[in-house]
Amino acid sequence: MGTGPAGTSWRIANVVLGLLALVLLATTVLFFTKAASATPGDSRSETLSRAHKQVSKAAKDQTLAFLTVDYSEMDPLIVKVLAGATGSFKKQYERAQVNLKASAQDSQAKSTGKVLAVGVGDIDDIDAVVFVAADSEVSNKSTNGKPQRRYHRLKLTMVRKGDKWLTSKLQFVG
Amino acid sequence: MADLDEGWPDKGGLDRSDLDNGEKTCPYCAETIRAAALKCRYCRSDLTGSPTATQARAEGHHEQDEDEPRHPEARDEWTRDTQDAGVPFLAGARLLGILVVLCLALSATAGYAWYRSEHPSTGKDPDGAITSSQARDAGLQAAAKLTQKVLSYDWKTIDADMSAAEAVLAPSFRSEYSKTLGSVKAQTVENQVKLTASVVATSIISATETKVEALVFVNQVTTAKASKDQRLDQNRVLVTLTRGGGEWRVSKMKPF
Repeated sequence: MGTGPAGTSWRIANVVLGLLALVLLATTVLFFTKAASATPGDSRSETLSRAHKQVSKAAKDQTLAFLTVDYSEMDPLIVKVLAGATGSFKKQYERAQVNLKASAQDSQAKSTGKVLAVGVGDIDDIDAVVFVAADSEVSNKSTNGKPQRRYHRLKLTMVRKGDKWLTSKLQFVG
Repeated sequence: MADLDEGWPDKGGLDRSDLDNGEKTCPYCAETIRAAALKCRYCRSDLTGSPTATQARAEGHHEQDEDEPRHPEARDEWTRDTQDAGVPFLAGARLLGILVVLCLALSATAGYAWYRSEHPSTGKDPDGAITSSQARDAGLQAAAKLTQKVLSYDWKTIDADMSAAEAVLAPSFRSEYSKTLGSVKAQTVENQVKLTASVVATSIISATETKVEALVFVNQVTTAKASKDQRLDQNRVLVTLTRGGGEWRVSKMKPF
């Protein structure tokens, strides 16, 4: 043995390079999967991004539930709004539900909502303020059944309970 | 005569008596062979000790040989290997060369993969969420400030107001802005129109390192010479900000 292509020192070089190649391969795979799987960005943005998406979806759903009115079938619509509510908004809505139903039936009101944009203001792990731009089409006795378009600017204060975001406050922004 | 036999150097087992017979003894296998033989016919050993003889054997000059103890190709392989000091195809320099190239290629790929995982595509995030928390915070502030600046102007200072607005626009948006304002400028001055915008809410739709989309609620008050009343518009505006070099600029503004 000794020097020459079959020498020990060359064999060592080959082994070292072989191991290095394996390590580099593993590292490459790791970085590619890391980039591909998780949401891009630093870890704070990843958490933020996840919360952003979840709270935006919850606010959108709650806005649609709130803007949907059907005088002939109010009960399930009311239940839906309450399911996404908490805190003062829930209390207010519970107190108002009987009147809401009666008034809808009186005017034979029907309304459908459409969310055009959702943006998140302040947000942390359990609280968020979400702004929603939504339109609705309302028809009732005074519109003679013809739908009228309305433009809304909503502010929803959200609270996270477990893995769900609930609405603790719902206001129109004037 | 027998005395002269002693002291003769060993020349392939040759001694006088053998020479007389035309025979000798192979020093390797002790068989009796022809005196003139250069190769023992029993053990195939070379009897001359010269390199030429070895070469001849290696190149397979054994048509004259009567029986082959081994397969010719195998023996040549073995001989060749011996000459090359025992190097099969993937050993030594070739393998080293392959590994060096492989390591270089993998280093480049690993570096690229690391870069990509640390610097995600800043152009678009398909879900439109947050890839930069710093951009999100900065975007909230900038969106409010810039929207208020762009949507406010006074007929008395219309040129200065337009310049101030253009200064915070991205180059791509400037021409659109100039065109829109340019077309209403004459009327604005004639009717003594004043627009005052106040931002009542700002929120982020998406934010990357270089691009922020914001939803802004703007209350716009319009006064004009003709009317004593003020007109109040409650607008919703989609604002896109981009950060080319340092500062955030407005690249899109769309009321809806």
